[in-house]
Amino acid sequence: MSNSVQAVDQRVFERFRDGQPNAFEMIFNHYYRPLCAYAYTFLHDRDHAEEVVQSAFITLWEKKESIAIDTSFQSYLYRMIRNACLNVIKHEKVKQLHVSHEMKTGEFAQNTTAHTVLAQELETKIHQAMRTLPEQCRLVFQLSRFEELKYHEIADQLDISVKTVENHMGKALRMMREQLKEYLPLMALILGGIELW
Amino acid sequence: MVSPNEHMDDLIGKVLAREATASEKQEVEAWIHEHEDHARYFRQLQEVFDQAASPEIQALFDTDAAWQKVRHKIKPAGRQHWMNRIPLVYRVAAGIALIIGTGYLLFPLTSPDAVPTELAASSKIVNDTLPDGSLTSLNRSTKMVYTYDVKQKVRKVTLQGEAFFQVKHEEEKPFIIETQGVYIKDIGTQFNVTAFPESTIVEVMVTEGEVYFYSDTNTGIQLVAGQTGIYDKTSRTFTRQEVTDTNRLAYKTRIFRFNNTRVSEIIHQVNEVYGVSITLAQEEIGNCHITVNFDEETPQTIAEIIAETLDLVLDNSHGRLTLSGKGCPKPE
Repeated sequence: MSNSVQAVDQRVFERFRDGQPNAFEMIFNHYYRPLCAYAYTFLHDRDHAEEVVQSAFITLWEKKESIAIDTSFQSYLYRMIRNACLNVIKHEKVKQLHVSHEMKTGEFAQNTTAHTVLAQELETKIHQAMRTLPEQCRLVFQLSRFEELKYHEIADQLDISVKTVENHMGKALRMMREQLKEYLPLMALILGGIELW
Repeated sequence: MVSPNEHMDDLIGKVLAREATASEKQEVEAWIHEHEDHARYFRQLQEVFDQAASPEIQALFDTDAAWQKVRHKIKPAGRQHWMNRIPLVYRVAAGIALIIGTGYLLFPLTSPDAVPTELAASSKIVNDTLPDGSLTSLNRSTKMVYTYDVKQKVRKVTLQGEAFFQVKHEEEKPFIIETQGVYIKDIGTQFNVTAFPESTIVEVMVTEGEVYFYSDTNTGIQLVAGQTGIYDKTSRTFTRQEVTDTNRLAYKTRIFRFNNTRVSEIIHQVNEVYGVSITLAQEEIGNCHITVNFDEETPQTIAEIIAETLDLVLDNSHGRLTLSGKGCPKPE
């Protein structure tokens, strides 16, 4: 199974910059769900994740003429969402707003779209495990898995060494495995075969 | 249970993230082969790595509902919002009219739209208008069900087979086709969908406007006029081609454009579309190539045109159309 999101056609992006609403709708359709999933890993709240992504899209439309993209449009979007989420977190910390996690973890179970209860439970577990990682370690993991950045790019963006990125990734995998140990055989069962690289 | 050292975890991470050098890969591989527990440990880390970014979680989010919210908050490029150009007094008047108007709109809550509409074509092509005013043509052996979901404000079509759609685009009510596990969302469009259960692919050919072609777990591709999208059911991948074969629509249009095409292929397509059986007395005739257009001709006329072009004899006795004469050599 591939986790990567196919990039949107360059021409769609160009038409979007020219202000064509259809192209904007295409981009929205294409990236809305993956970006929400990404925001969710930061905010652990479905509504907050959607709010962040929706307002990011509105800003994107308003600023379309002045967007300067140094890498790809896709990495631009992911980075935009990451920064917006980190802002929200910073803001919430200041306000000392702390919502109990336990109350929120039930929301996977409410979703009924073609999802078995078992698969939902696993997802919840994975997310819970990801949440327990130390902050920097989690961020490195997210940048690698969701933004699909290379180690040297992560190192550049976070201003740390590539060696530290390696350590964080190793640690993230080790800690998450430790927590998910008992669920992992179940995952293999549900999610199908595993191949070595 | 083995507890490998942190160095190995880092290396495994690099392998999974495709950052490992050849020698690092070898080191991990050797370690895996050392012990069954090592192999199991590796697979567990691999699962954690894969599942953390699993696309399954995306199913939590509803793009259509979100788009309805966002759409209202964006202004068309370079234009002032029309409301700002209307004096306030009229705006108030319009508001009142709207409130009164809404009273009427509340009435037909149990509109017939909510009832699914079923269409089917078995041996003949069916041309029909859907309850929303969109036009559709169903090829043979095709079934579709149209429903308007009042709550979500979505027009949904489930399709099995092949159909052409000319969608009446409504911003407020997205038009989405579901077939064989994938979706096609209209963005102001005319397009053809081929999705037979026995086939390994689903094909979408766009002749006007644009569509969005995707699945629950794959964000898919955008297609504009002149492009064809193919979904491979086995590999679950979407690909885009910069071509459209308008002859694919002949079942609806009865229009063919052949450009240096083999006669055997032409006859095959004509037979399919008309449900007839034009035959060749000499198989070699099929090897000939011709360039020809047929615009809503009868099979009889088509056979006559081919006969004239290649200097053949057409026999239409016994209700069958048979072409005979000199063929062309088989291409090597």
